[in-house]
Amino acid sequence: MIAFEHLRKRYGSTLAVDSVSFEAPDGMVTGLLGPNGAGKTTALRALAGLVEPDGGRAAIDGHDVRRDPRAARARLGMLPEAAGLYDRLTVREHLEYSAALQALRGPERNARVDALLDQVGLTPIASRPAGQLSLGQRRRVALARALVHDPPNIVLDEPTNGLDVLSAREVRHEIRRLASAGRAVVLATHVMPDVSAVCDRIVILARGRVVASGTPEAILARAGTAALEDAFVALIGSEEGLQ
Amino acid sequence: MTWWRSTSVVAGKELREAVRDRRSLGSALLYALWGPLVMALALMALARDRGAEPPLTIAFDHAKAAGLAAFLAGRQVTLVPVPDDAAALIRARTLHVALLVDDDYLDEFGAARPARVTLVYDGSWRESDARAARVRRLLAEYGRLVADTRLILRGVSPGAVSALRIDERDVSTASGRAATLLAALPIFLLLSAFIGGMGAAADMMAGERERASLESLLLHPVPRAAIVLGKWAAASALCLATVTLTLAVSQAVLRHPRIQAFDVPVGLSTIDAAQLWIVLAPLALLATAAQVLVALSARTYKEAHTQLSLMIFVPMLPGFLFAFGSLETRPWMSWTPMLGQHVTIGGLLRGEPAPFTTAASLAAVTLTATALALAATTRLLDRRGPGR
Repeated sequence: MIAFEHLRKRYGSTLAVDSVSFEAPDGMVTGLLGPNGAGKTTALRALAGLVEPDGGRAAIDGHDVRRDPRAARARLGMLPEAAGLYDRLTVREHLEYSAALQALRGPERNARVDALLDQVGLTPIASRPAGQLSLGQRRRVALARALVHDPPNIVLDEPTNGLDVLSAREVRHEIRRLASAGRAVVLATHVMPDVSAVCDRIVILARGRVVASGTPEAILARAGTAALEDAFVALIGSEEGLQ
Repeated sequence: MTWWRSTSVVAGKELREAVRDRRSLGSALLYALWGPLVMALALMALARDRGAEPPLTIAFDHAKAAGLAAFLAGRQVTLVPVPDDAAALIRARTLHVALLVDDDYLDEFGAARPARVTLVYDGSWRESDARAARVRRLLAEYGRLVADTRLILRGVSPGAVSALRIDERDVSTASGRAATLLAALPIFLLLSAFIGGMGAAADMMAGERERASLESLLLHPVPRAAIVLGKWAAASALCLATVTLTLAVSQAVLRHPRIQAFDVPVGLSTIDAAQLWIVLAPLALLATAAQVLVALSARTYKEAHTQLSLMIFVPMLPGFLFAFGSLETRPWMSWTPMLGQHVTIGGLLRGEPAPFTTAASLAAVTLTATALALAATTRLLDRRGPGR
């Protein structure tokens, strides 16, 4: 389970994240929605321990990210927005490197790497350097890397960005599979079809604050609209109107 | 996972990637070759200039001054008859020098009065000028010899008319002269310690930040210090390999028969090379640590590269300052990183005994600075994270 409690992060004079609190329970996909600059990526980076929050806390399965960063990080798999691959390493080498850094060794590591390559459909191109991969293939390598240590909590930042219809569909299926295996999944996105297809719960962020949260049905009811996209616009707009 | 294991996993991956980057690797290794080769060319040119003096030929009418002619012949000077148009031939650069003897030379000489000879040369022609200087020295020596004989015949000690006796003693040893010729070598060696790991440091810090792979690396449950240490170790390994290759090529160049054939006692024994390596290794580690820190603080790969290229001037600075004489060796320099290595390497190349105590304290200071740079890098990585 992933939990944010009154998390705050300031960049200069901008309050990027302003007292954000929400939970992502196990076995569910929690959609984190918001316009660009709403603070999604900053909140997720604070969760991964990549930025130091100014206040509040983020915890993974009860491990405070600041007090026990390595235990927290070991229970988290994260797919950042940019794949961040090494062009001169092969697909298999990427997974081997990550597995080694996750303390997997010897036969256990090889078995895990083989299984993952199979799971994300990369076995045929396992020995190809990442520099020669397509965008969809790169995203799949990054996803496999995030899963290499079989983490109970998974964060995906814009996982279908730039993917073609088929690849995006494949990724959505993978997300559902991860949640039904009992993991807590957070999906940060602004792609509405992703949200309606896979999210059990929705948290809407605007200007660094949580403006609405609940099941898709509850969100629609609160906004009084029939489509999620309209609800999204209505909720963000009303918030901006209040300020 | 142990701390040490994470470090070696990171270092192993960085080395694998760096070795596959043929272009960066090639340019670093190419440097190791061209430095000593340029030095070899300079050395050959210097050796040619400073080699044995060329044979001296003078146009001289030996019938007019047989005594002087015998003296000159005894000093391995070739005498040729004076042509009619000696001055014109010298101006046309077909004859170097002529020594004209006055018609009444023998009369004056016999009467112990100054006898006149005229030295004809072209002062604007370097080779004529240099030969004229040699003829002047020979004439002065002959004059002194004759004067001394005359004084003795008159019962006067030649010492009475010489208030001063000037002896010249060049204290530089043979290998000291070689070090003068090898002045370029310390700079090339110091440069190799700065260039060897530069490209790798820029790529593994600024490059990874730009390509966002630093972010995915930091997501792993690995101490930041292990990441910094692993990357530094990989860049240092490349840097030490470059230093080793530079030393090996320098040694090969200096042992080349073309260089050895000159009358300059240059040479770099394997023990010398090993001592130089021991002096350079801590500096290579410090240079790489500083480069990793600078590369991490840069926003882009290009920015890192610009800053690291400017750092190349650091190892060249003491060389220039010493060469232009505005810097004198002082005790504190021998344990200051960079200056200390410059001084120590210069001493080793002059054939001075290895200064074990100073070298050890220099290494200790350099390695402490390295540790501080690595600690600062870890702090920066922790504080700033993977973002721009």
